[in-house]
Amino acid sequence: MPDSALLESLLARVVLRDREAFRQLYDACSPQLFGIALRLLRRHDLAEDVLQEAFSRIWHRADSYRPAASQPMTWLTSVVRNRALDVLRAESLRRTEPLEVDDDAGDAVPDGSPDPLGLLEQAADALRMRACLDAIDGPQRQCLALAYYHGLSHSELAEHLGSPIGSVKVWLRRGIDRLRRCMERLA
Amino acid sequence: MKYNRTDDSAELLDRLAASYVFGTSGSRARRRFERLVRSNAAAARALQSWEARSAALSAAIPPVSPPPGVWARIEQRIGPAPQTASRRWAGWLRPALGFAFGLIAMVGLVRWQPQWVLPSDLPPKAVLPASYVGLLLDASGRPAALASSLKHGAQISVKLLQPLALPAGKVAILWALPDKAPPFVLARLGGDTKQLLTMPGSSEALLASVNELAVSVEDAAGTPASPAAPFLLRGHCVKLW
Repeated sequence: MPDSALLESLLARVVLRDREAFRQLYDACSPQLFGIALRLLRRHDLAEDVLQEAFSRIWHRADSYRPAASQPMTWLTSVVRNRALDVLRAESLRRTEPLEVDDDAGDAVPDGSPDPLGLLEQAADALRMRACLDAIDGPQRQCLALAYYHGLSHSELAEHLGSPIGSVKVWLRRGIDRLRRCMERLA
Repeated sequence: MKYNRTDDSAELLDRLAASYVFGTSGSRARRRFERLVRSNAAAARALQSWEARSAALSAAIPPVSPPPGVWARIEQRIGPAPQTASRRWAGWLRPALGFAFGLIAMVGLVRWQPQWVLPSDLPPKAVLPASYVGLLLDASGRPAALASSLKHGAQISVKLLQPLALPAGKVAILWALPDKAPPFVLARLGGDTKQLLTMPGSSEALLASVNELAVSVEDAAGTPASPAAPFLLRGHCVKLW
């Protein structure tokens, strides 16, 4: 994870149209951000497009980053996730691209990297809230992980888990509530 | 999920923010929430909290280096690198030189074979080419105004190549910047594209040692003794003959 103070100073220079700072910002953050986009989109071409659009937005809108309000990596992650989710939710992609939940899209996700639930558990370990996460019911945890890391919609979750959409919505809502409480305890 | 002003509860905003960050809402709900965040501080705070949680969850994702071509395409998207000072100089020097050589060629032609250029029913003296010419550039280096004056005339003709953006109650003043003396006022500019302004003396007397012309924005009342910084437009002034 790149150093926050460094990223903040790079973003401040990007506001002033400093290309060298922009290049350094790209070098420092693009692997993390590309990993995020690739997880959500599971297609290299789409993830590359999203990364390009996100960095173009970062170049033009770096002035909208508020250091007092959020960490630089939080802002950068949001820019990438929002763009990727917009692509995922675009009607055209849904029609032509039936979403595969399993990581079988060739080399889209590197070998040996954990599944969504594994990622959620790793994140919980890193935040020292594993016990709190483990206390969340299995289906709720599964919904959280698939929705967050794979960007599955309610109906896609219902299809994948073979459960009615109503149950999925309830699991997800409860799971999110529990997760928030776990994470609030940290802060 | 529908948002009504009446259930402006922290809990609802928190759920909306969570669905937005998790991405479980559809495109239209996403746009609706984005609009809400722009106008509602509580919604913006709820989003901020969830974005911070989201970044913590995303930190577990293993990094993947993007292919090298991505950076090149990003550079293409954001446009060419801004010009350095020397390239900006070269950027305007070429059209300025072209313009000057064109004028010199014109002067030569008019003197040598006036009937080729001037209608023969006009006495040749009626259309003498300008003796002093200035090309003024804006802050980004684009040509913005052209000034020219006859050798012994007290008038300077100004053509605005792009409209002057003046705040209310302000006027644009054309200055002469002599080589070794403080700037002095040549004329007050109007808003017309083409204008003929009267100077406080003949161009030969005023402009002989002037290397540059500039335009500043000044208060409408009175005549300033020195220009307000920074100049709106500025450019070289050359004597052609």
